[in-house]
Amino acid sequence: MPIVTIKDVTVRYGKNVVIDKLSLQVERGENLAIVGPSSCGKTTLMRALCGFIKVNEGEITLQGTVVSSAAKRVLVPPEKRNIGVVFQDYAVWPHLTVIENIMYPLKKRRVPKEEMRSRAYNALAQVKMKEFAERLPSQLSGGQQQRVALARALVSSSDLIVLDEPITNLDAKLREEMAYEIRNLQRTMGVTVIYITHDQETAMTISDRMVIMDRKGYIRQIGTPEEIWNHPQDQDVYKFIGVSNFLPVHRNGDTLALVTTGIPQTLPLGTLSVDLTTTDRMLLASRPMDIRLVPVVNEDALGLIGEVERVTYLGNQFDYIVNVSGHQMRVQQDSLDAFREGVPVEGSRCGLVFRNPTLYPAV
Amino acid sequence: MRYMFHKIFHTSKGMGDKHFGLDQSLFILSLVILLVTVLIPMVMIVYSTFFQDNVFDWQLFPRVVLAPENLSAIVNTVRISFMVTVFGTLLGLFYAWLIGRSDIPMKGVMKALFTIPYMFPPFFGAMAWSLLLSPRSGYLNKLFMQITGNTTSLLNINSIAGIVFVETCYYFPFVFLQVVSALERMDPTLEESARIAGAGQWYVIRRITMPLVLPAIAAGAMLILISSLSHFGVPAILGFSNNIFTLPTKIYQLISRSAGSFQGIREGAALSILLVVVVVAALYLQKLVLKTGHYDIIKGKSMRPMLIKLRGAKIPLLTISLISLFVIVVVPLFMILAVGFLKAYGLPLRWENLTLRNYQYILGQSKMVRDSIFNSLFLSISSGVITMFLGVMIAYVVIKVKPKGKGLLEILSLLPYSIPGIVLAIGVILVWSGAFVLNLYNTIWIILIAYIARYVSFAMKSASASLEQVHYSLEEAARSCGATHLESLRDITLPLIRPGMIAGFFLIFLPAMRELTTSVLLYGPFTRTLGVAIYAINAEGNTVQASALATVAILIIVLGNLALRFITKERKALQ
Repeated sequence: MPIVTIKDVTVRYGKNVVIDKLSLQVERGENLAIVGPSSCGKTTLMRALCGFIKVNEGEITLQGTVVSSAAKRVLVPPEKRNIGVVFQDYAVWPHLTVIENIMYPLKKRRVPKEEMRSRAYNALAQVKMKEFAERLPSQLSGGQQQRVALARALVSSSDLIVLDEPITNLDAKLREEMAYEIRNLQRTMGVTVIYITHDQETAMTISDRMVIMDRKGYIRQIGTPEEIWNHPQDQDVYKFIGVSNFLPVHRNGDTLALVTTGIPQTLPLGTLSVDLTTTDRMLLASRPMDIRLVPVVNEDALGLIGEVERVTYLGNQFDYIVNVSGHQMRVQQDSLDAFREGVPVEGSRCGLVFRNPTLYPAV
Repeated sequence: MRYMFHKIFHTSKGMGDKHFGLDQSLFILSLVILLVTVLIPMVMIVYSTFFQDNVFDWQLFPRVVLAPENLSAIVNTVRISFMVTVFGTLLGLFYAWLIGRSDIPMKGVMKALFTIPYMFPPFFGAMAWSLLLSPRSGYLNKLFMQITGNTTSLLNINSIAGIVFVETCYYFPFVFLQVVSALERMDPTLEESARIAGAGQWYVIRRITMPLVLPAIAAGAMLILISSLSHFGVPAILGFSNNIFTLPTKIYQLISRSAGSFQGIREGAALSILLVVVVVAALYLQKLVLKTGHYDIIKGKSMRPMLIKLRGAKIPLLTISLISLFVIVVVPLFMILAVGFLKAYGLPLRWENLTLRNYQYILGQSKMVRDSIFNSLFLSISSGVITMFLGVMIAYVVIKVKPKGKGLLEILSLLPYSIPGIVLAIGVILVWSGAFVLNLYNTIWIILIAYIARYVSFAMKSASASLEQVHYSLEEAARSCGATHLESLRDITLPLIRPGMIAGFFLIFLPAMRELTTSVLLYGPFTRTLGVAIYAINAEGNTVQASALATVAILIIVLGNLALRFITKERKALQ
């Protein structure tokens, strides 16, 4: 049985529809990331789930109990939902010490004093903050406050934790560390984690399953990070989850012809699956790391040829801008490979070989 | 209790009932309290002006308003307020520019001196200046007559000019403080770029600085105007003996002369309507002025402005400002202090004439005085606590709950800010002397109700400021940790705004401790307040005792201010 079932939920602020008939199931023990651009309604979804706002339509079921329902006129208050929440701004209470912050949910659930202390210290140890127990939040860094908020959520609920943009405020190194820790905690404790973020990279590293939302509050795709990365449902998802190139093409027999006002070019269909009945325009989507630059052997052979416009050294990799008959392409290459094969010179011409490109209908 | 609310709102509102139950009841409670303490008194004033024994009677209003003595009171009120506003604004601007933009030394001392008039009631100043300049017995006048052999006095404080002078001394800090803070927050590059573009010093002041601080000047000037229009203490002390009346003092006279008869109260109510109309007109004017001059160039962050070098003018300007500040601030304080120790008013200030007898009398023998001190302490503390909690509740509803009627709540809670104290007092009398069930006349409770209505705006403003700092998520975090709505308020929100609440308490306690305008109409035989006691003793001619009691009041106020400063400092250190 799923731990959370969201069914046809609509949330409106006045006339403004933030979430429209959204349905989603969260399995027990999984680590689900809800990803979408800012103001796509993901925080609203979280607030509806936690009971801070009511739903205008639809139903939310938690552990088999209906907690929000427009039709049944049910709105279980937040304190009865048993969800641990880590807020975007941490919401660590500034007038309580770290340990008092963490003990608070236990106090509210009337846990005996002895057990309360030991459980709180346990949680604090899990987030590696034991030596800060008696500090006030104002004496902690952002990352440390984050850990306190996480520990508090952990003692608050051992079933379900919701994290709202928790680690985007941290610097890159801390972010990585924190992401790893959340993943680790989730695995060892078996708690279900719903992780809300606009940062698809962290979501990839942290989650078992990703939900991609769009700007209008619709779910575009649900799948494992691998599925999402390898088979984005559509052009928007493709673009959202990473740097991407889109080349407009149309089918021409067994080849794809580049749509261009410059020199006409074609490339073989190869392993691409194409609906052969259509002659509509399509988009050939590719990632910078999945394009290989090769020396031009035969100008007339099938395959794309471009001119290297800019070469940027990024340390572990090279970044190229290649002009293919008027279309600019981002290409990236591992530095070691580049040095071994010879770094292309700006202004030189080279062939482009695609590794598993995807075709989307052009809109 | 929560469950009861659930039930009530479950049937009436359906969805969202459980979450909004407490919020809803806070909203209704705030609304009811404000309606009873603020709105109904105002309605009663209008009602009793136009209805006699429930019969419509429109004749009273024009008759009262057009009575010659009342007309002259209207003219006096407008004249005095206008002059106080003009002089106060000029004085405030002068000091603000000196301190905010010039390199004059001793800014710290001057700034500290400016806050003193803020703390004491202007009617202490009126008392002090009449000690110096009352036509026959004032010390300065006597000195003048002795030296010159003249039989006429030098200056007469019991005149319109005297009233204007004393009120100006007490109200100019409104403009000063507004403008200084605007100058300090103004981006100095705006002035610098004008200088670089070739503009002269005077041109920059006139064309750049002045327009930018105009909204601040307007705000301060309007504060002076409104305060002066509704001011009671100074014209009461300085004007009565010469038959100079303003609207507030005329209202007081009408009611006290009629010895509480309903006709007198009706006439007072009619004049009150007029006074409110004048104040509302002034407020409307302020809105117009502020609308036309809204600039965002004044930022929240403070920057170090380029200071203008006074060069040769430095010493003369410093001398002028120190002497004027000395006259405005130190002299009246000293007079009250000194006269409080004199054996009799009029004796020269010499060692052999000093005594502690006045203090013995007021603190030991006079039961009336002792009662008044206890009454004022009781009233200030209880109105401070009650009003502060009321302010927190209203601010919470307005800022966090945001129900549909929040605008009404906001207006009602800020309304007393613009209602003159004397008008409020009449409204309270009309409501609480038996018109509706309860008769609280001559009890301390009627004064308490008036204080609550009078200070709820302060409390609401100060509570709003602290509540704005508490982010939603702090309360929501508590909810998701298992706290009910009420518990989240008790455990999280209230502790977080506690320092603001304590500061808010003192902001009510301090003015309530010296309150005169409302209490002077509401006190009964056993419910005199400190302000009323000082006023009454002074009016009876026991000047030395009045001064001694004023000194006691000053002491209490100073202690309260120190406590407030200590608390706000501690709060800053915490952040």
